[in-house]
Amino acid sequence: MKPVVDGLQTSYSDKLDFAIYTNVNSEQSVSQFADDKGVVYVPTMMLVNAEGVELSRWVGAVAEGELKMAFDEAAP
Amino acid sequence: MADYTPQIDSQIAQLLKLRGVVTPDMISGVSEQDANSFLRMYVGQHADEQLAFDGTSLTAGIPTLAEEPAPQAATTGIPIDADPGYGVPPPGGYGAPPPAGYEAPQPEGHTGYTPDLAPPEEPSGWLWLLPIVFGWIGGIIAWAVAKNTNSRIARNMLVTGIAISVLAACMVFGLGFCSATASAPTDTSWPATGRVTFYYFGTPS
Repeated sequence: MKPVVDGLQTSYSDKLDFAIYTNVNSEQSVSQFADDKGVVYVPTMMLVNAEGVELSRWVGAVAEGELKMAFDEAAP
Repeated sequence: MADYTPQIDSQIAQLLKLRGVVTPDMISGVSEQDANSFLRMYVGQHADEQLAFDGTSLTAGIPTLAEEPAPQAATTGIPIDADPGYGVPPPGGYGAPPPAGYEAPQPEGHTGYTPDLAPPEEPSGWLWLLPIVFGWIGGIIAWAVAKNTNSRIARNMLVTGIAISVLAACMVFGLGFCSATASAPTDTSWPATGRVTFYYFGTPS
């Protein structure tokens, strides 16, 4: 899933900010942060608007097109 | 006194045949004294018929039965004594063995008791490991192996395998549910960065 996210980051970097955490199991602070946000399985992805409200959450592999649709809707 | 005529004889015979008993008043046309005499004469005339006249009525006599021989045991020839009464123990005491050569009578057609059903066999105890370890799959295998030996135990093995599978599924589901609820997000607020942000938690590759 990481390569897909990397591709999307390249495409949508001007519209969205990307916060990518690949060290959930190695970094204590990241692990605690993930626990606080209810991350149980990896990969888990969230889309948060400018006001800090979570718009969508995906657990597991997701189709790239679905993510693109969500990005386009949240940041037209 | 009137004469004992054949007509009177046939009248008495007919009354005796129809009613079984004849009294003097049944004979018509004669006095009671004459009728009484006629009945006595009838008895004398028909001595071979075993009639009985007690002075008031004439009846046909009941033949006496020949005496029956005393009952004896069919196989041993031991005579059976008169009923000793309840509570009197047999000569040999209760539980005494039967006399030598005694053979208990059996009903016709009976060839003696031969049990047809042998005690049910039990399958190997190791077969129980199949449903315990492999769940419903092991239960089906154990059932297939044991069904010809003991169908009841085979069914129990199948039920055990299914029950263990169901129990394991409940435990896994329950633990997963508990884990999910325990990890429910406690902080649903995200920092307001002023831009839409995509968060990714995953592996490096």
